[in-house]
Amino acid sequence: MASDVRGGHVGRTRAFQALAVVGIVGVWAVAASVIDNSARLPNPLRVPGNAWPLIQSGELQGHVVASLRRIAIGYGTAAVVGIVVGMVMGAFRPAERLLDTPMEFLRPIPALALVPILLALVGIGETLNISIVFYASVFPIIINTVAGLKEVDRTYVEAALTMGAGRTAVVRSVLLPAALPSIMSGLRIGFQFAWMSIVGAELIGAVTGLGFMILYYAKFVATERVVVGMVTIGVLGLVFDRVLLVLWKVMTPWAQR
Amino acid sequence: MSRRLARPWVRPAPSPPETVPAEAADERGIDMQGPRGQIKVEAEDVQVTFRRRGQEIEAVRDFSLAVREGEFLSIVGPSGCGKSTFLRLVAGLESPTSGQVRCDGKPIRGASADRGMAFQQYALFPWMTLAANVDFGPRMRRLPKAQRRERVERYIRLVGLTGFEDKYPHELSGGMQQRGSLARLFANDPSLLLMDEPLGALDAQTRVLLQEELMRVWEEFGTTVIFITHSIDEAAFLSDRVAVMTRRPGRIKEIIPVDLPRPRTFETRGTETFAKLEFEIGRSVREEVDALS
Repeated sequence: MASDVRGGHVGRTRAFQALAVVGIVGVWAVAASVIDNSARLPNPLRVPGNAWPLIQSGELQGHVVASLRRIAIGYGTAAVVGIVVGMVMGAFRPAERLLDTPMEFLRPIPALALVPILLALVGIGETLNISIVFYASVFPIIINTVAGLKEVDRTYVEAALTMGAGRTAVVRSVLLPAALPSIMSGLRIGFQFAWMSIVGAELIGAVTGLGFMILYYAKFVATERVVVGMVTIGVLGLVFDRVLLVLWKVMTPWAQR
Repeated sequence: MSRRLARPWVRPAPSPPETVPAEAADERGIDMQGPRGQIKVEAEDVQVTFRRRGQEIEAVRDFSLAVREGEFLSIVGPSGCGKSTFLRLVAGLESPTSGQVRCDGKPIRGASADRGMAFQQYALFPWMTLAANVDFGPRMRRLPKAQRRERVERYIRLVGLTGFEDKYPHELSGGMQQRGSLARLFANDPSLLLMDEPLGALDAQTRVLLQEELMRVWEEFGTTVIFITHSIDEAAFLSDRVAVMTRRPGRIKEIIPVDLPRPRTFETRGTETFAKLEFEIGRSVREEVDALS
């Protein structure tokens, strides 16, 4: 019985969510039809019609793959570097003292502000785009890893030591798993940042990718195609976030209450 | 009966002539009396000073104690008297500022699986199933797979948790978690068990049940136990001897032998000897608590 009631409740929530989406798109469509100038306001009803040729020609898929590749490399590197740096900082006090201030200084600087320096450093090209994704996502991963490690109760470490664990075993079998829930949420936030940075990352020097596609069609005032790019970024971002959430739940079953 | 024969030193039997006479018990609490007289752990003039927020805190001073092989010794005393500090010294998690703590005649350096420790909270690793928790020590010691599996099964059965192997600690009740941590502790076969209020976080009923369970398991293994507790009746019920500590900086104030027959059961609590002991220990602790205020 209780589940029936809950099921009904969920059903109603879903209905309201759908209503909200339909409502927003509806108001938007009406406004766009009245204005009737896609340079001022793109018409959502014309978005599917604009999406279809992009999909049929494979253009959209090509951009998706290009963006995903940059995300995979930039975010993947950020995940590895972030966890390693975070673990070193979290486990060794001197490392934290050394790195904390420069990190706190860099963190609020948006990735795009670094573009001139990055240009000089790595030049125009794929490395630049990937570097921006990396920079955007590495800090939340480091910070959450450090926080996760510092929150590990000392008792766990001591229990392991009194069961014959050495230094390496303490790190691998105690510190890492104990900090894993926090590391995983750092990875999730990091991914969101990486994904949000993709348009900026493809601002300079890229001739592929969803960010490039948006900027490209914006130049031709093909605003409905810009919306196709936006929707693709939104949907894919949501999907990947859900995947990470599921992964998080599977990998840390003890943290789910 | 056979258990008694296995561990004759549990009860003060008439001392054979070759052992140290009872007068050897000196004012520092070193008490060599007892038929076996073998010393498992010995602390000599130990002093521990902490620095906390720029202040020097003396946790224990002039602390001397000898724990006999195979005995169950409880330490009671007012809060903050340094009970846990002493236990951590024996565990090798801290070192004395001065003086020495020896185990099997050798000074203690660092932690070891041979000196297992049970904690009041966070007993089991929450990220491991019960079986993985119990397997932790054997895995660290790189025992062969088959032996590890056999051990996990045996010790989980010993504490009556068969069927819960794949549960995570948060899926178990507080009492089950502590039983699980006992299994994990025994799976390392340590020759010395250090228990820092392992039952302190449990409700009264569960606590009594677990005391009896702990007695049963301990009587089976006969390991030396140093047990820290706030609970006077727990100390009286479990121990061969109860060491009372002074207020901080703590040292051993007196050692009260517990003349209760084993195996002890719930009925033990109803005896006159038990009531007297509880009162005697309680009064000794109370004096120190009163002196604090």
